[in-house]
Amino acid sequence: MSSDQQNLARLLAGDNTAWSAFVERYAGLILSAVHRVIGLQGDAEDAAQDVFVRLCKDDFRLLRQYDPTRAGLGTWLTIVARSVAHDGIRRRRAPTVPIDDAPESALAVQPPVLPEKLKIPPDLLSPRQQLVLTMLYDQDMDVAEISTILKVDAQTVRSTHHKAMLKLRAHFKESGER
Amino acid sequence: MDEIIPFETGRRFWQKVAHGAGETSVGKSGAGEGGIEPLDPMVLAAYAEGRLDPAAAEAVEIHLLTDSEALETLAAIASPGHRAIDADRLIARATALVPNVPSRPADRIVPLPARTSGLRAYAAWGAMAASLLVVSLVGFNVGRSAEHALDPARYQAATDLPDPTLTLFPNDVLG
Repeated sequence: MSSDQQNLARLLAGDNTAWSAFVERYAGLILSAVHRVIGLQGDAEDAAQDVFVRLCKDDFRLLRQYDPTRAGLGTWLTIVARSVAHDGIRRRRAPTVPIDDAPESALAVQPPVLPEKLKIPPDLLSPRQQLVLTMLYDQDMDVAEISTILKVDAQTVRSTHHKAMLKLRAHFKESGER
Repeated sequence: MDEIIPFETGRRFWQKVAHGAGETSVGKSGAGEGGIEPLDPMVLAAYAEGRLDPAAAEAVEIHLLTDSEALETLAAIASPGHRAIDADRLIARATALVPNVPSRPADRIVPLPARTSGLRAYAAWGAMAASLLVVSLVGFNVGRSAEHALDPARYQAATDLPDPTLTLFPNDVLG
């Protein structure tokens, strides 16, 4: 068991003196993770403090959900910190105006000009193929990033992309929609 | 052998087809909005570290198709790019959230000294028994005296007995 895990075990066993060591160890990571989410949209330090508040709330209820056998504490804390930061952004968004209170002019809409769309049958692509295309084209990730996330090499990502595109081409050629 | 499809061609094609099919296009919203049930952070963390079995990993990937927030989180984990941020003030604030004392009552109990054994134990028990005996005798004596003082008639019979000194030494002898 690493010293970090020992410290966490002490903390969860009721030794509050381990909290300061935990904070010192992970404050930088949490602050950095939060900063990447909120950028200039707010005070990263306040958001990071909110993460710590949630971790220790109700006798460390959230922290007790961490399972060291499934992932590293740093990875889990990064995910929790980003989630808390996103929650904060959602809370700070301007409140919506009820439709009855909105002026008439604000409700006037132009008929949308929809581009020509095609339909992909749900089972045409595997989830992995869809995910690769989504990451490449909707999330603008590069092949190296995708290969790191999916734990495969770059050539596998290219190959998955290629096979997905062939399936799409074949489908739309056959159906004559294209 | 099929020709390699360039990414730019793929992008144009994807833009044309993907967003026409709601069931296959990725949601632009993140978990927590638009009715998407967020992934358990522990599951996402396990996926990020490649610790899920293939079936569980595929379930996560299906979820990722509609949760761009989780995808961004995975990208952030894949390329941490930690900046050197001064966290001293945060450390001071966060440390103050939890009092720096043991929280469980059991941690605050001072342990008793180890039990004595052998002769010292017998001596202690003996002293305790002797004390009990002394207290009993004194208590009994005090109680009896008090009872006598409060109800002298009850003890009249005892005082009516002939005084042995008078028997031995009659009044006339004593004068």
